[in-house]
Amino acid sequence: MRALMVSLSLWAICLSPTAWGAAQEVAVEEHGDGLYTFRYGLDRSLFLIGKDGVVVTDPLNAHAAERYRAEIATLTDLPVTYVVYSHSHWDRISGAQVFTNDGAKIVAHEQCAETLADNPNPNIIPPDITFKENYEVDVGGVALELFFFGPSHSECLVVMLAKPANMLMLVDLVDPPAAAIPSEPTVPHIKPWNILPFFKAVETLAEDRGVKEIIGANVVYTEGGNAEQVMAPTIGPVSLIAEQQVFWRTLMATVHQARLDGNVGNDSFVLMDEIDLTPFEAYQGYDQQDLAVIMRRFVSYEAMGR
Amino acid sequence: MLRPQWRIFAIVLFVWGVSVSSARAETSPPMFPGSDWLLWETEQITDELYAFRYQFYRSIFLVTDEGVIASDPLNVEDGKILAQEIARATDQPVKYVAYSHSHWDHIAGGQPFKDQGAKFVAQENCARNLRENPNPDVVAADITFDAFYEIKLSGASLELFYFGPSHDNCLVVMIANPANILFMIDLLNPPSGWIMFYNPTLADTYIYNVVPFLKQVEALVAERNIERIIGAHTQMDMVMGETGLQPVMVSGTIGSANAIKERRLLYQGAIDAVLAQLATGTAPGDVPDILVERRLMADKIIGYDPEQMRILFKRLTIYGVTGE
Repeated sequence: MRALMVSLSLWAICLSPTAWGAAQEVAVEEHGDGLYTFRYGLDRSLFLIGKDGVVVTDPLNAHAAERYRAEIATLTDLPVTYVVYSHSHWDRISGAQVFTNDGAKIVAHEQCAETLADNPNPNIIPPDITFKENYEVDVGGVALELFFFGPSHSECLVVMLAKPANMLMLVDLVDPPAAAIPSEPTVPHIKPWNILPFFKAVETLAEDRGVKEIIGANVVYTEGGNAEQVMAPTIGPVSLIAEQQVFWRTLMATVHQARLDGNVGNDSFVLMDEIDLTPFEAYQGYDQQDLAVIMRRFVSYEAMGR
Repeated sequence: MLRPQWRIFAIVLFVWGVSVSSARAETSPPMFPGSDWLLWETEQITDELYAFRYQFYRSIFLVTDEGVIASDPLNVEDGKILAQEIARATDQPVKYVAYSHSHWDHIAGGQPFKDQGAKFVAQENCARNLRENPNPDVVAADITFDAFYEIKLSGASLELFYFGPSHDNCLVVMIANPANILFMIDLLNPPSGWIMFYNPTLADTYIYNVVPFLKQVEALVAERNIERIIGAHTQMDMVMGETGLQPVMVSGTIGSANAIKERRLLYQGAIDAVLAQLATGTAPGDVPDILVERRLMADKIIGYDPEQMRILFKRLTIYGVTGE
């Protein structure tokens, strides 16, 4: 088993909804070839320890970043030399100061820099290094390759390939154990006009590079035996990318057909009683009400083009 | 879920709209059988300024003796009717078409005007959006600009102001001169800015800049002493009927510029409440329910619907957490 639980720290576990923002459970897993994942509560980032230094992704927030840095320090004396932002959302990229205080440079897609300049957050440090299409952060024998395939989830999300482990991370888009209905039904961050081309490009990348596994950036719980909630594995098969693309394709086709058939109300909500929902029922997180809201967003997309 | 009377209305409207639009009569039929509303109509607002409505959508045009300045052609069918209506008002050709933003439901159908030799004007982000996701029914912009552009013909003009992303990332507000009337698209419609959001998912809305955007529009209106605005959509209002307050469609062609401040207060109130709730440490998943239970602004919002508001608060909560 590649994944090795390296450490498990239990701070004041307050996972109840009323304690949002309080300290969360921390776990670090080793996946081989210098690749590790850092989990803070329900969010996960990855880091690579090379011969020359460490590259981390998304610091999450100030609390998480402190723990992140402390956990890395138990594994190596080498400094964190780079922080990579997967995209521009505050809940993923706050708190990088603990790393930049040690001299780390922040890397992000150039559109992230623009977005952060338009709507700054005092807890977020703007990137030092930006790029347009692809970029590689090499820390000595291991590297994180970053690919931009146009807007997808936010305007600037990059797909991250850890090398030589050869695992992909698509933050907030695909998580083990299964393709899923988005947990945020208003899907404000999905750029509908490019979501299918984006997924196609990622599939092509995965195939070109022989990628077999992906890393989940969001922790998913599934129902195990005796109805207990079981945390899904960190790593999942690369086939999840294609499966998630099928969800988006099916959603868009269903909305398109609903409009053609006159099954959209005056309020632009799809008439859910009039359409076949069975293609969606097997997806992780299926909820008909949420699906109705997601479809509402895509009715707008069909009319507006955005 | 759609209330039954609206479902029937929608079906009738759709069927009637398809049948009459394919017939393309020179004068407008009713919007649906027995309706007081016409499917389309053109109103002359001032000597130069006209407003054209097709179903629930509206655009404006200015007629001068040097040509016509039009705005959003709306869609392919509407664009043909608009061309016909302009031709009824004047023999002059359309020289310019100004796009309000890049959403297809407002700017498709410009070919009749392209055929007349019109130049199409849009904010530069609109041009980029249309390159990223083209639509064969949308004519590309010939002229683009960053913050401001004025189209002038013979004593009349249409001024286009861009105050950053809001609804879409390239929406402009327009001032028609010499009428000194503001044309406002999608963010709000007269008579009131307190109307319930039609789309609580706030699709393609840049929430971080909506309030600053509307404040700049308010400042523009104050600076230019603008008292009246035209809306790009009809609106609903609550009218006392036999069984109590009932929603009734109102024109929204022209109304008080106060609607801008009202809409800003609505956005601001909702956004501030969500951010304040998050700041107390409430889990994001709980914020919408708390605000709906509190009936935030229920006494102010026309057509207040708790389930639609729940969706709105979900959207705003995501903004509070992610910044987008």
